[in-house]
Amino acid sequence: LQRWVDIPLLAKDEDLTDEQLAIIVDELEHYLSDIFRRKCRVPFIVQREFVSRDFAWRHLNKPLFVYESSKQHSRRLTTKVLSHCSFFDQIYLPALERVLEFLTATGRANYSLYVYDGELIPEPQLRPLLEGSGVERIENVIVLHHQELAALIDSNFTVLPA
Amino acid sequence: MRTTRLDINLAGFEVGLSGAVPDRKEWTEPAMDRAILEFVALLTGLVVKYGRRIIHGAHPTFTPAILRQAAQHSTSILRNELSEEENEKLFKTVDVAATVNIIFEQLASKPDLIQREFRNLIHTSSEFGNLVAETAEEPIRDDPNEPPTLLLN
Repeated sequence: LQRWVDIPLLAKDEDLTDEQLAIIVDELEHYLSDIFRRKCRVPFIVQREFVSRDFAWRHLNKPLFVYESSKQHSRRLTTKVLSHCSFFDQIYLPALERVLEFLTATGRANYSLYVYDGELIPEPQLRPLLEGSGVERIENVIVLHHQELAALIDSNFTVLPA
Repeated sequence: MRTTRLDINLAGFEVGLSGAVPDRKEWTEPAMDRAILEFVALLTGLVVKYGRRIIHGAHPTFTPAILRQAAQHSTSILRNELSEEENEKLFKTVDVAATVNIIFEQLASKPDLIQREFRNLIHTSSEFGNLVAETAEEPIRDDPNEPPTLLLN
């Protein structure tokens, strides 16, 4: 999650110039505005995907951006999905770990999703990142981009590999 | 790991992508270029991830985003199966693929030359030429005056 700004090495008693400070502030503002944009955008997109397919939708934990969607197929059969909408521009493992703790404590759902935004992370990068993360129970969560969500819901969650 | 990839296969689909980033004076929203290129990158990433190819009009503004996605999603899969030495050679080849864009920009008015230069780059860059050639096929053009098309697997 780091951001980089190239600035010449300063002497011991030298201060940053106004221009350099402005560059740093600009980078910070971009970073924070990206997060703010995702906080609004990702839950909206995910909610729209579920609600348009007749799922009920509700906040489960607002600070953690975890939402519950459920759909009753028959008197006995209900699909319950817990979704975390990430506002980072990549998979941020501490956030994933915290969400997994919450999902485990919350109880049983049919599926747990970690939905991310931004660029689609290539499979050969994503899988080793998660497998090498050391996060407990990581196998219990499905990590996907919000643009993959429609295919998953439309298939009634049958396109998950065995 | 339960899943990071859905069991979806786009076999049988050919996804055509045409367009460009309009001139700034025609933008209808701020940072319109960013929105368009993010969409192009995401669409390309999804198509390549699930096994199909983008047929792209090789517009200079789109080409870098498409090549980058193709390199990340297709060649990197093979990269995992190669030795360290082979990886190094492949990585150099992928870098060469990125420079194709420069050729497109410089020679945009000479489509035949673009085709020839691109092919030369692929085949002479390294012994892994075939590997990258799988991600870039020479298109079939009935009309020699038709603009060049780059196919990416």
